[in-house]
Amino acid sequence: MLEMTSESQTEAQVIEACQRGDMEALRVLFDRYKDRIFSIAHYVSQDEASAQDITQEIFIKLFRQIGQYRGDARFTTWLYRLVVNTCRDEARNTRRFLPISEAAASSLPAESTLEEHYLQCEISKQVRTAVMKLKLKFRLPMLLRHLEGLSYDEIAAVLGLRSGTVASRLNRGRALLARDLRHLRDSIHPGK
Amino acid sequence: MTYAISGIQSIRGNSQVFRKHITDLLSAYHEGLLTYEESSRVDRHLATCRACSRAFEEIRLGLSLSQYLPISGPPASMWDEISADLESTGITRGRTDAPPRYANYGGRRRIHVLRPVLAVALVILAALAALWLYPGFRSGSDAPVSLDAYLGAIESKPSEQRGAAISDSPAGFAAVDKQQALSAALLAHASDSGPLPGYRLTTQRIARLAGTRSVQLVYRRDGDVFSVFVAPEAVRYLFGDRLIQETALRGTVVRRVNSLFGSTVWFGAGGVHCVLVTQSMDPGMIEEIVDYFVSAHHSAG
Repeated sequence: MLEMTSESQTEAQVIEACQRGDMEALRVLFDRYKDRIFSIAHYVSQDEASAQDITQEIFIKLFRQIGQYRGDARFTTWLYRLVVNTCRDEARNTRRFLPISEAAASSLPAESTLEEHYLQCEISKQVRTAVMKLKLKFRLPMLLRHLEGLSYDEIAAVLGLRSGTVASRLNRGRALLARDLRHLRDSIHPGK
Repeated sequence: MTYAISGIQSIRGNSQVFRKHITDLLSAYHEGLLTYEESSRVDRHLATCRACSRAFEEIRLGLSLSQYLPISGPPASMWDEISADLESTGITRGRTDAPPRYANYGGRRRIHVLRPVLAVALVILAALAALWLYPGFRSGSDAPVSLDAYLGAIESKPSEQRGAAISDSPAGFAAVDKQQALSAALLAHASDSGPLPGYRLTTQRIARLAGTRSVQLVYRRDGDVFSVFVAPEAVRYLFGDRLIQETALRGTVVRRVNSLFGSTVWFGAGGVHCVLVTQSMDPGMIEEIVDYFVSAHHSAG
């Protein structure tokens, strides 16, 4: 009988079942991580169709390789290492990860439009575009921090960096994002 | 989980400051990941270094913007393609097209074995639920106060309407007179001046949810408004699945609740929990409000 006393224990049981090749457990893992992995792939590839390809490849790799996971690192560290490596491989193989085009950047809504309507989805759209323009070395730590909620140490383990380097790249990425979107300052910092 | 409000004097007495620029520490500082001492030294450095202060403002804005990063999902058909691929390679068993019937995986075949156990467990749970719903059983208990929907309603408003939304009542709260509210909030003895000069207590409410004791105090000055919720430690505040980070606010340990406007700060002292909800991101203003309630409740305790 399985006792579900904590989230981590539940995940350990799901992983163990996945390692036995149980399809239902694989589905649980897919449902748990599909949106976050797809989002990272989308932010890295800058293209929805490519993000779908990458996400599918990641899950097939995950399910084929999950037998190699021994539990000596956190599962999320192991998983996101696989995600990042797959994204990097794709970048090398297909050259899909070019900086966002000027055309795409210029399609942003005008500042006045944003101020008039102040819709959160508009802010999100601009943030997404700005993040996609960042270099991959700044973008990946930000995605792992803000989409996945990984700690600095976990990001360091996933990316093979020192924690200090992660902190430095997060600083740089956030500063670049702020400079690019400083016109949104009043929209998200009302009264400041 | 508990947290402490301590060390303000001793840290403020620390005269050490960083002599070099500290830009590499600023993200960790803003996210509350530094130690007390490091955080205090960064405070002192920022007070004197214009370059680092500018960098900090940029990082703070960048971090706020990052909270708007949208998450999207793959098409629903992806699972079919993945499962077909895995089955074709023969590494799986037991295909299922439908989502699992239970999120916590237990293995479909085990359901038959566990059925009698589940039936007994359900009976016990039903009995406990009936006891819980019986008013006599709940007297003296404290139901949680969920502020998630209240914060969500503020976030959904345009910036110019958020002040009004902050002064709105969360579900289950109702207006009471000032003295009753201040007594319930253990502030009857506190000074009339309130947490900030020029701000007046304009609205006060008490939760009418059964078994809950929580007070909402709304303070205003012109168009500016902030709400403070005060409840005994026995009452739990719930914030949905919002990210909550413990951080140091100039020496005071608080919890910052992720919200898409201003600041939501959860702190405690003297046997009460407080939650400050404001459009302001000004650490000085937030610190004054936190200090006021911490001092008042330490005195009351």
